[in-house]
Amino acid sequence: MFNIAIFVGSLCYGVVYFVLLRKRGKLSDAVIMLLLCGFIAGYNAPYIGKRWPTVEKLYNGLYTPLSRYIFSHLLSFNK
Amino acid sequence: MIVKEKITHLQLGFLLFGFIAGFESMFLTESKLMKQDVWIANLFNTAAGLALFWIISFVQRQFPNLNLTEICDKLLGRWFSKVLLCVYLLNNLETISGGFRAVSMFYTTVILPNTSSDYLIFLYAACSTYAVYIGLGTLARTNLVILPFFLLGFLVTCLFIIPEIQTNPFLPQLKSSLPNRLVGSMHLFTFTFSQVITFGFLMSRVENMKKIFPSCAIAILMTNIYLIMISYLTLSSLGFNYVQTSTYPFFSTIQMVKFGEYLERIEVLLVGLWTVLTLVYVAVMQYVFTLVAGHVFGISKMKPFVVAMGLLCFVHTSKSYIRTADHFTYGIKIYPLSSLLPCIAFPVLLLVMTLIKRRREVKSL
Amino acid sequence: MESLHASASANLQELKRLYTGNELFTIHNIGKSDAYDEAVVIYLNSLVDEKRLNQFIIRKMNMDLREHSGPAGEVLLNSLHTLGEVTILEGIEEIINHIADANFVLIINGHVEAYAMKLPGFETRAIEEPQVELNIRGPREAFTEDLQKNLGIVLRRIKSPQLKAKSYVIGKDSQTKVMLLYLADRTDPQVLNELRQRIDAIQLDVLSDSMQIEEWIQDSTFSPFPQLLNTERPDRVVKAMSRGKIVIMTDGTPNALIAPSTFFEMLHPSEDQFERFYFANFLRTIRLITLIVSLIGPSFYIALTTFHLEMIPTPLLMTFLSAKAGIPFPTFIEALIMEVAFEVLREASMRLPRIMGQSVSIVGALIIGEAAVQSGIVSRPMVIVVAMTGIASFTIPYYSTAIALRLLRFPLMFLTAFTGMFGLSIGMFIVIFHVCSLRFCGVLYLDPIGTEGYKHSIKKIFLPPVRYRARLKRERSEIDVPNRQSHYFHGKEWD
Repeated sequence: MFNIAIFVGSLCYGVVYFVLLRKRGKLSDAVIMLLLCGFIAGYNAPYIGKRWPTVEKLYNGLYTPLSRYIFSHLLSFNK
Repeated sequence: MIVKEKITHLQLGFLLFGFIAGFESMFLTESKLMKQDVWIANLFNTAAGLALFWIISFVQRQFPNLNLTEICDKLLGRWFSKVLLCVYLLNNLETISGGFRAVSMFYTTVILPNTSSDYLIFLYAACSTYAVYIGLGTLARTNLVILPFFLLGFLVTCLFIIPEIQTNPFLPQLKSSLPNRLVGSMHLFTFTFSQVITFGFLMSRVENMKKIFPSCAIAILMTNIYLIMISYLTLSSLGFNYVQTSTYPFFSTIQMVKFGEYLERIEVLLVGLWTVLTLVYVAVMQYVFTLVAGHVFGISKMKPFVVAMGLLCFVHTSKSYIRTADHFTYGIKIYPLSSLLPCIAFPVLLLVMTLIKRRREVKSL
Repeated sequence: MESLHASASANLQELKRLYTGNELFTIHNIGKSDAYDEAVVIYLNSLVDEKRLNQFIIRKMNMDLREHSGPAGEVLLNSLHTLGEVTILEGIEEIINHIADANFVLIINGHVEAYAMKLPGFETRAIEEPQVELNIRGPREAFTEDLQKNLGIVLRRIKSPQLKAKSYVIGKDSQTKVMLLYLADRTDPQVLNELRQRIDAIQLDVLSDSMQIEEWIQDSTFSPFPQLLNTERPDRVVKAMSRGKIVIMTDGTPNALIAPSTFFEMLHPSEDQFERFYFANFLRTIRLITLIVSLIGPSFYIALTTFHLEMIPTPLLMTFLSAKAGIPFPTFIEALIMEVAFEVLREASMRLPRIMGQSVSIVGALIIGEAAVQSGIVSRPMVIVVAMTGIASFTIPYYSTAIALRLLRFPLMFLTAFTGMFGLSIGMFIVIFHVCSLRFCGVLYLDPIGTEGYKHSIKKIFLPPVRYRARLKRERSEIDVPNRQSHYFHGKEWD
């Protein structure tokens, strides 16, 4: 329920400010707002929310091999 | 362009103290790793923190009329600067999410086990978004109001922990392994003064730039003294084994505080103060995130984006670090590495480019 | 503005048309003719002192007309000039404004100007003791609704030529006079200019109270905290002016506004200046404590008894639990019931006639408190908590600040009910943050915190002995001048 509310809320916020910013002549700001709110809504979207990218997933993917090498091989640190 | 409110160098120093002292004190991971040798981590932390702060303040002083994002554009070129600032933004978002999650995890573990963590995170994010919306000046003043209460509570707690000391926390020295020392020092530095780059983005808002380094250097020293005090008090009152196994060792320590034989378990009051100081921490991070994101994406009307950025921080947190064990492991093994580029390499690169630029200017003269 | 005719009859016709239906509009002929073509005096008969007007002024004018030769207009004008200050009016609108301001107006045939003289004859309240800001030691005068009287009280206390007074007329229909008073050598010119601009921008039909000015000129409309201090005490006004504040006095209301005001000034009554410094500082400390109790008393109790039972000492916990046994409601609902009942009682006691008010409120409190406990709706500790919170709020000297704290208590209770100490901490952060964000005309509401170091802040919040206050004032004058941008700010954070 809460997730749906955030999903709908962020989409509405994005659309409303897209329209308002376009009226003020700030087209680039309007587009960025729409994209940002769309991205935010993605986190709470049904089905795709779980696959939506997070910094944790990105850095786990990027740095896990390096971390394993440094901590397990170089430092022999296992905690 | 609107003129933004300026803060004094003292307010920046206090903000730095509150920023660090609030957040790190609950976890004390370096104490678990290094035990009686934790002073090594603090010494390294002090030296590294001072060095990093000096680098950033030196770069800022060369360009007193520009803020750090504009300095990056000037030194590194527009597009490369945007790439590096995006890396910083990712690190910032990672830290904000980690902060929100840490607070909600603490509360759902020890105080409010039946409350949904999403609800706590939402409240926290709403507060910090409000703080960002109102501005840096108000945040600095609020920190000034809250800090004396925090310090008073902390000092009284320390006084009343002393009777509970049972172990000598200082001996035997240098018994921790080198990997533990390295990891502990890196961990402490990552969670405290690696975020000094965040303060670099606020330096252009300080009235007297020449006094930034002295007042913040004092703040860094005081923070480390505070961290050493709580580390050793925790070790001496709980013992090495309990510290190693306890999730929140300092919290366990302050649970032992007693006023006479009547009033006990007052830890929730200090936890309240800690919560507020952690809120200052995430508010500062979110403020800088909003500022830098506005610059990177070329946003002219920032007002509506403040709420959107706050919402982004909330939803990102609600989907990150869901399992406690994963969160702790991430904090020890991934976060110190992911912070290297935006928090250490980036300022060093700026310093190098500043020196190169100065040399070129001297040669051309 | 419609200008006057040379013919008195024509002017009179116009004025009669405007005042049609107003039986207070009085016309008095000067001279022998009944046709009103020589000269007339017009006024509103409940505003002007008719007795003096008839016995002295009109009588003298008629006598002078009989005894002196020369044009009647010149004779009447000279006669009027001997009686007091005469204002020359050039239009119908000016005549209307002056008549409304307790003037009588002389219209002379052949003159394109009219002549007004003030002769107020309405009753005003005598100077009495303050009703709200009582004190044990110190002056006992309070302002009244008459602006002239109030200005007289202030001018008796400040005799410096640096005292400046600027008048405004606000209210399209009420034409209410408002005076701005300040000491020119102490007031911040930036604040003064800003305040003047805001007062100039006020657009109202009827200005009946200073509260309307306060709401119009304040920076933050939706903040529960008052940003201007209002007082009925002249000594407070004088003290404020000596510290560089600007005073706004409104005709028709006994409350003067002091701007810019800070949060700490609203916690410090004028009585502190009249007591010995250690007692005054003791009371200031008590007030700070009661401020916190008033704000978070019930919330703290809810947090402890719902989420953090371990904090309560065991014997006390047993007492609480036995008192709570059989109470069907959770602590939060109990607190809500009692707080709402207390607020209703407080409001009702204000509306009742004074003779009945006190006894009804005491009986009401006893009946509600005791009956509620006996019937098992609330527990005894809750009654004590709510009573202590209420008493703590009465120690706040400034009523509007006390109201703000009463209002904020409820959201804090809501937050605490759901999340315990977490909610209370977050709520307190928001309150402190909000107070830190407030400014008036660029000056911080929480001054001196945020503008000066802790040492200077403590010196400003607590009183030193009288002989050191002059020295402190000299030292302070170097730091009081807001040279630093962080001290005085007028911008926005986000575009």
